[in-house]
Amino acid sequence: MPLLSVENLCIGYRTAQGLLKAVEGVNFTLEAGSSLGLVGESGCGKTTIGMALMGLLPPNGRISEGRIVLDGVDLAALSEEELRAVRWRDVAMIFQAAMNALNPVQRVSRQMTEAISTHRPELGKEELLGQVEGLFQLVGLPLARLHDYPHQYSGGMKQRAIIAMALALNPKLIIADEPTTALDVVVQDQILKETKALQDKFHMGIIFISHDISIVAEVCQHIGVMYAGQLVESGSTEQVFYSPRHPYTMALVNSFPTLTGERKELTPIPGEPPNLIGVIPGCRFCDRCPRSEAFCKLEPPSWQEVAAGHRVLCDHC
Amino acid sequence: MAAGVGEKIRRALLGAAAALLCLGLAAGAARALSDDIIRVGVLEEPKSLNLWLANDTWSQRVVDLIYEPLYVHGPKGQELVPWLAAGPPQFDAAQLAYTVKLRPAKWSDGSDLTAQDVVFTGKLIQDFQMPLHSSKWKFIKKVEALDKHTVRYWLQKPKAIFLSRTLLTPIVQKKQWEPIAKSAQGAQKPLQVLLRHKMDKPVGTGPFMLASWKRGVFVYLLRNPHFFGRNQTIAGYPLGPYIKGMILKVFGTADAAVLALRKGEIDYYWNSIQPGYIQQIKDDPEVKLFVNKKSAVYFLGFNLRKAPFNDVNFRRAVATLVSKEFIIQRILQGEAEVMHSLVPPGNEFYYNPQVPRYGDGLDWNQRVQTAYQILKKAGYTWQVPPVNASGEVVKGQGIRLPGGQPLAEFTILTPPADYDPHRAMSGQMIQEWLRAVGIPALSRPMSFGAMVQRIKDQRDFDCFVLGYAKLSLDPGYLRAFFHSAMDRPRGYNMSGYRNPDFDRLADESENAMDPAVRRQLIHKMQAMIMQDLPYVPLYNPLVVEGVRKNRFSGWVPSLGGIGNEWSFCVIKLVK
Amino acid sequence: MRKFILKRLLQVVVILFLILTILFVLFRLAPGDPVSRLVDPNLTPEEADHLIEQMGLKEPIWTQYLMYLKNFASGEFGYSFHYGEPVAKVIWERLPNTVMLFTTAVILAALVGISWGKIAAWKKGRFQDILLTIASLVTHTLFLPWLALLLVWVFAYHMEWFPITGMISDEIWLDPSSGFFGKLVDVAHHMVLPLATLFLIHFGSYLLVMRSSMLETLKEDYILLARAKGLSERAIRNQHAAPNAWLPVVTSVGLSLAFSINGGALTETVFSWPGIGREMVFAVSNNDYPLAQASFLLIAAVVLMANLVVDVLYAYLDPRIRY
Repeated sequence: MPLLSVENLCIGYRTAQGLLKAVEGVNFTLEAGSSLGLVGESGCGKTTIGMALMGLLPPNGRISEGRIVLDGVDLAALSEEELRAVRWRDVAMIFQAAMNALNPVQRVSRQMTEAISTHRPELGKEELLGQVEGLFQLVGLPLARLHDYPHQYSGGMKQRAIIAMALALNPKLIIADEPTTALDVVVQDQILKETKALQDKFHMGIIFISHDISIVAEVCQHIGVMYAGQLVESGSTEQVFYSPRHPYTMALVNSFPTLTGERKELTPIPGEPPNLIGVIPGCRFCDRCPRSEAFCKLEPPSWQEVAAGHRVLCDHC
Repeated sequence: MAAGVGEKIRRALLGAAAALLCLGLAAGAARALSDDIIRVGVLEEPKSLNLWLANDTWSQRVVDLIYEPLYVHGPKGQELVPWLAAGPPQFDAAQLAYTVKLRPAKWSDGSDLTAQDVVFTGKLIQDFQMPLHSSKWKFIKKVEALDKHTVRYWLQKPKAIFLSRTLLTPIVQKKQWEPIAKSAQGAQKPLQVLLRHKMDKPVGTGPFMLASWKRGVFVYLLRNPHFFGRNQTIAGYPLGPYIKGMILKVFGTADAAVLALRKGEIDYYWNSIQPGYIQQIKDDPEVKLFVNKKSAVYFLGFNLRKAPFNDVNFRRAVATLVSKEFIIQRILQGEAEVMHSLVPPGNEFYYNPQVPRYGDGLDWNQRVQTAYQILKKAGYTWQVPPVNASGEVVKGQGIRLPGGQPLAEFTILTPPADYDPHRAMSGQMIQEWLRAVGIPALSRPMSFGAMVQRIKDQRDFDCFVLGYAKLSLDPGYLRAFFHSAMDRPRGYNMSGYRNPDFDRLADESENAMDPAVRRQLIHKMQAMIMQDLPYVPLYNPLVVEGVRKNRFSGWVPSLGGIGNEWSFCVIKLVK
Repeated sequence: MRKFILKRLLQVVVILFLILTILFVLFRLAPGDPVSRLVDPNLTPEEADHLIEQMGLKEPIWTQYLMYLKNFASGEFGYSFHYGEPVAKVIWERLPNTVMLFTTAVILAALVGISWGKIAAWKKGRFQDILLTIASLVTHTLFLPWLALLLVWVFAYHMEWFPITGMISDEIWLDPSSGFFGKLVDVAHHMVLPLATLFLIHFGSYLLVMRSSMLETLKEDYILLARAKGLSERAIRNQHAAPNAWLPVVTSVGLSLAFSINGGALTETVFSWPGIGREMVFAVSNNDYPLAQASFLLIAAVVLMANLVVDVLYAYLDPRIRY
């Protein structure tokens, strides 16, 4: 049984203009100890999936269909109280450091211990502090800085603190949403490597959300490419990154520099994704697709399995 | 951590506030003080109990109950009643000297009032050039104690105000003031030092004395056990005081004071009740209203130094257009009397009813026609006259002076509405009436201090609406208002009226020792002023006061209301 | 920090000196003089002149200015023309009354406004929020004397729960047997209505400031992180959202507290409260220069100091700010 299986997940937002279908019919699974990267442009629904996994959709968002089964439990069916217990204990999240994820008026130590004590109220102050110190050592943060305020940290340190926080309760699944954006390349690389090592060590599942497919390819064993609320290609990193089949994935691969510094022509994708309010009958990418034909616009594409485990949502492949 | 502490502080404070509220609600005011102490509502506390600084209405009310003169006005008004004096002053025409015998009386500290005290008071006023008092002592050559109870005044020249004002000077105790005066005299600014002396325990001869004073809240007066008048009958009134004392409670607004009167927190509100409240109080079975006349005048003044106000015809036309009845009915809701002269009719002895009246009893059309005739005869012209060819009244336009130049817009200064709504609204009404005949008047409310400075000190104005809320019964003010010698900075001849005939009459009246002669002169002066019209008298408000029926009775009505020394000496607790 | 405070204190002194000078000039430019309001035909022009001379207002202007500076330096503030008493005494007799009422009112309004604002933001768009927001807007725009009179009319006149205006009752203060506690209760009893009026008028502004500040804070990612950590709603609101939302409110409360020492002439008048606010208005309209100057200077000093305290407090509340 996989650690996580997402089945036919559909999420909509109520907006003034109508129902915005941010995620539609997404399926994927994740084995314990493995990692999946969700890639796509902003607005493609990857962050919405991340939030849905935490049970933290905004008030106007709702899972309209589908299941999120974590270790045999359907998160989509849990009450708010039940979800609160699952959060951080089973599913933790690594936020982007540049976003104000750390409370500026509280010491880092307090924000760390709070994560633990909420779920393990039986622990005393000493024990909590001991655990946090262990976490600091784990992510390579100097203990002397434990009681600093967030603004006294560098970007990299903040990121490490956030990673440490995510590891605090040894969760089954970690969702990392753009964890290294806004860090400089060297630090970015370092943190990615350390994250990978930690994941191996603790044998947890990671869902890595990013707009940068090359970063995802560095860290993840599997990649899922999302476009306009749908998963359009999925498979192993080998398959998706090195032999992409969906025209969108191909374009994505060509639009980022690689971390290895390999030089190639970067080509941005012309056009914009469709509006997700209302019904889209055909392929969602056809307006920007170099291979599009007349029928693409009229009928929804179907999944093609191009290799074992490598699936593409396109009729041309 | 910050949150925890904040939370605790908040809880504690909210708890304290709730406790305070409960305490406040639980507290019931029990009448701990004796019943025969009267509670009087006032709008301001005395600014000082130093008699010489206490020159405003509210301070004077209190010091007048503590300090007393040799003679007072009887409650009916004009007649002088010997108070600290034993009888009328004896006049020695040959020496131009008056002799006054004192009653046996005591100061509130128990010591005797002597002629020395009276002499000392006079000298104090003269030595320090005491504001508001020095003018009535300037002509006193010498004042001397003949014996312990006899005082003699020598005058330089005959002055009418000696009887009506000098003898009404409040007397202070030599024992108390001599050391103060001595130390002040050595100072660089003696008067300033004297005025700054803090009088904590004023010693007087009056019916009351200060018991305590809680600043801004109340003044507590107790009956003076040494008051000479106790059990004596003066001017037909058997004097007490029968009340043990009085508490003057300060209220910020008339609204609060009226509510307090109706609720019974006070027994008497020592101020005229505004017309707006009168109806509801009339319906209140527990409150009794007293309506009395007042010695006051509210008027429209002109700047005679300027055209067109230097033209008597223009002034008369304006006076004709102004409906005093309308102002009284609509603005003062009937709580005032019409003024035709500058001496209030309540001052029966000096009031001259035989003065020229303008527009009296006319309706609006008649007013316009009369005013139009006056102006036309004087050479004023219009683009559109206010009376057309067929004799109908229309809206006049484009008035021109006799010389042919257009009459420029001018202003009528009034105090602002929050200071006195009646004067501000009167100004507004006058503006409308004048505009109806094409006279471009503009009523302009201005802060009181600024207005007085423009009119009295700088003489930079066109017209104004002002009033004197407390005119003395002695009509000496006529001279102050219109004598050409008073047409100077800080002088009261604000209009700049200059008439040698009037000056002569005024000087004569000042020196007339025979009241009958003086009365005639004052009559003539009133007629002359109403002929020349530097001021157009408008109205004199009535004083409407309220008392709790079930508390005290025996109030003595007088010119200015029931809040007078006579009342406080005779009222008794209702059994 | 210490250097910062010292520097700011120095600034305060310089600014106060400037204000001192400006006040001196301003009041002498105002129309009229201390005698001009005394309109009484018995006051002769000579007497008026003599009074002005005795008040020292005929001295050359620079002599008056030096005298004025000397008075301030000695802490005496001169004598009030109106009361003939030392200005410091006049102020000290009234200031505690004002502080007692207005400071209590500001603290009460701020505490309640802040905690209700927190709730309103938290329940944004729901019943509690709509009710509180409308209540704040309505009470905030009420005309104070009108509200005051209404409360007095209902609760003092008709219900007879409270005295009609005033600060203390003569009954209790003239009774030698009433102790400290009795007097305290008496003042509290008199304070309820003015306090209620001020509270009603003012809590809304704190509520609205706190609400909007809180709404901004709720959009922050650390709130999301707090949720992700599985914290309870209450812990998120009180420990993560509110302490950040306080920051802008602190300035508003700090300055209100400072200004509360000048009270409000309007409130003091309608409630017959013997405070400094009314006295200031009187002093200005009576051209009582020494009293007016000193009370304005006092307010300036307190406001400047409050600014300094707010700045220091800010550093305490927000660790990002250091001087």
